Amino acid sequence: MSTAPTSPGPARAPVYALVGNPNCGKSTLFNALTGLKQKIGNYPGVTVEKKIGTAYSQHGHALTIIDLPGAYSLAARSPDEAVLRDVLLGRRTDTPMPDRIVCIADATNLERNLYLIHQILDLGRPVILVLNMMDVAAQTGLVVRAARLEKELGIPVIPCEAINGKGLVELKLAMSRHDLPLSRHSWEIPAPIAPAVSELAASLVDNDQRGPLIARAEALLLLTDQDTVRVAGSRPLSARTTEILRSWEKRWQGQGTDWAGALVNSRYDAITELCTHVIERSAVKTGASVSDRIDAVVTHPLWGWLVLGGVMAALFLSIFTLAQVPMDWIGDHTAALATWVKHTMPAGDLRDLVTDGAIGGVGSVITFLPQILILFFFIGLLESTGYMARAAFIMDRLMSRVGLNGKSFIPMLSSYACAIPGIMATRTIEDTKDRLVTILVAPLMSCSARLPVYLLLIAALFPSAAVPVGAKVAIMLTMYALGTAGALFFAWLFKRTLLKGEPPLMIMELPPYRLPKMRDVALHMLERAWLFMKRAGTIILGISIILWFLTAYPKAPAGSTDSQQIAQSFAGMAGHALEPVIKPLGFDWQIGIGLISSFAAREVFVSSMGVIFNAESSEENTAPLRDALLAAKWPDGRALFTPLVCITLMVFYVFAMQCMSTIAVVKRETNSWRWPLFQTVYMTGTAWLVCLIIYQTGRALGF
Amino acid sequence: MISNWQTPLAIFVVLLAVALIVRGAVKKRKTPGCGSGCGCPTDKFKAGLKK
Repeated sequence: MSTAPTSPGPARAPVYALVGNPNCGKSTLFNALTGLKQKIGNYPGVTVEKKIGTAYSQHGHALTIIDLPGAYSLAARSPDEAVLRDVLLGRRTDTPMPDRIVCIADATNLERNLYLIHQILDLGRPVILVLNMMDVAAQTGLVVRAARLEKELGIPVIPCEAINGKGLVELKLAMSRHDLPLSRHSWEIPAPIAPAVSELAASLVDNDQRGPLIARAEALLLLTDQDTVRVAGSRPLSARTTEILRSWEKRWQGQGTDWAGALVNSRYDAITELCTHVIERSAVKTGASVSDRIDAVVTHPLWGWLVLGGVMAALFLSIFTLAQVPMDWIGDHTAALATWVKHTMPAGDLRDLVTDGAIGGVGSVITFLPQILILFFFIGLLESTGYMARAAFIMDRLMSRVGLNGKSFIPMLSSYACAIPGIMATRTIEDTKDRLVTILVAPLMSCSARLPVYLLLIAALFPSAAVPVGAKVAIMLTMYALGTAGALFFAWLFKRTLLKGEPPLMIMELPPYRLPKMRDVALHMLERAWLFMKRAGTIILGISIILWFLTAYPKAPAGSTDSQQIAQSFAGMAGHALEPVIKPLGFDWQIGIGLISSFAAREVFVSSMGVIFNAESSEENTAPLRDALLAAKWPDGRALFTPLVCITLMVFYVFAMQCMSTIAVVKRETNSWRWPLFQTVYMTGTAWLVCLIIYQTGRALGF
Repeated sequence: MISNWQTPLAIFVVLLAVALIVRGAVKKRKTPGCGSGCGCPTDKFKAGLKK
């Protein structure tokens, strides 16, 4: 009796790779196995970098799991897919080849999902196949015979509903097995191509140090993929292997043989044959599904835009209304803390550092925590329901007019939270020029760090509680719309000048709508809140302390007022040096200090104003920052923070490049200092110019 | 004077803040990112895999 070949388990803890098509539930499964908190969204591009976590087998042994980017095949068309390919083929210099692979397939679309899995089976590594979304498949009348599939492929097949946790125990049991069987599935390589596969595979073994099975799989991939996308960290092919590949390609080109097409068709024939044995369809439901009926409105050329606008308006309305009470509570207690310290400690530098520096600076920022929580709650809710994919679909119409496809919207949408993951999400964009344009414009989307700045200035703009909240919402929406419009304009400009190219077609899967998983939404919200507080307690606290020092030294002569002290301090000197450049925009040296410090993090502007204006407050008790701003004056007695200046300052923050972390990530993603420097110059230059026009025009009109 | 002890202590706190921020900036230069908010694998994970 013959038995299936097995692979003995590795001596150390095995490394598993988690692979699958986009939107197959891979991130959900990774979360469930490792317990790491991941963003769970069902639009493409969420997983843009491999994620690594530790799970535990049923016997308590550690298993290392790498969550690889989603892809439809190993043929890479983007840097993202190239990373997947390189890890699985052992080409990465920084990542060992996984010992075993867990493939996740969407049971509702098994035939499409099997293409990638079929390629992975060729690699000769132990594979476990997880059939996810079995519940959804059953609802649509699809029956997937898991046992039959297991028999055909010769590997463990685990039916699963990752979102409900079903099948996880069986999966962990399979992953715990010491000797997993290797697949016995085989397929017919077209006869004209077979000699090339053999020759390439032999060269990969001899010259590229590949194992025999991996070499065969890589040979097949080289013949279908042409290996066009290469990323940093990937070992190049040997000269001999490349020579063999080119000589075969040249021979076939001369003969008119479509070698890539022949291989792909042969693989699809094998998959179709397999599916006829394992997939049964019961009575097909007629009529549109619930998702289709909703999409008829949500993706409509007119109603879709209205829905999107309504969703955004509801989001910002919630930010302004629901957060007011907790914000006031935080503000009152922060001020009370500072007042208590002033009464308790004797006068001196340390007391001033604590009250004006630490509490004044950090307190100004954490006041906005309730609004941050609401923002990320709604973002998480929209992602969890599946609406974000529809937003990308609607935006595709607009994006294509400026020369980008809808895939660029996903990184830009991520940039509303933070430009850094947005820029990293551009790895899913296949075209290099499109990717670069998206990187250049992504920071124009108003990120969450700008939110405290907008909120502070809107509070100064509308100090009276009698002002309708709709006015505040309108201003906020205008700032977000301005950033988005700026991004689209510059994308259009760059696509027609610096980075000319044709907009590619976008093919996008719209996943079915789901009820939101409130636990995941809450986890996402709390995770972002924790990051916000961590940032406040580290970077912002540190900068506030340094800023206090820069405003407190050198010491002014005895008898000087607080304003005179700040004016002749180190910070004051820097602000005065910048003032000639920013005075035409209506800003003075104090605002200049805030602009300079914002390069560390935009929200530091708020803490800077807190340090500067709270220090200048002559009151024994610290006043709300908004009131301190409204009381600020130019030397000639004019109000500093007029409504026009508030608007101008907000617009400055919409356009200016003021985040060193973003500059660093752009440098890494573009592998050059040229593009981040260009980005800083064009964005900050635009901010200056637009603000100059707004302020000078406003002054001319009498505002 | 009462405030004499406060000034050197305040300067010490400022220097400590500078040192921590510089250390963070140097660390970030080696692994630029958002500080784990976007889900990238950290150096710790990568080092763990190499073992």
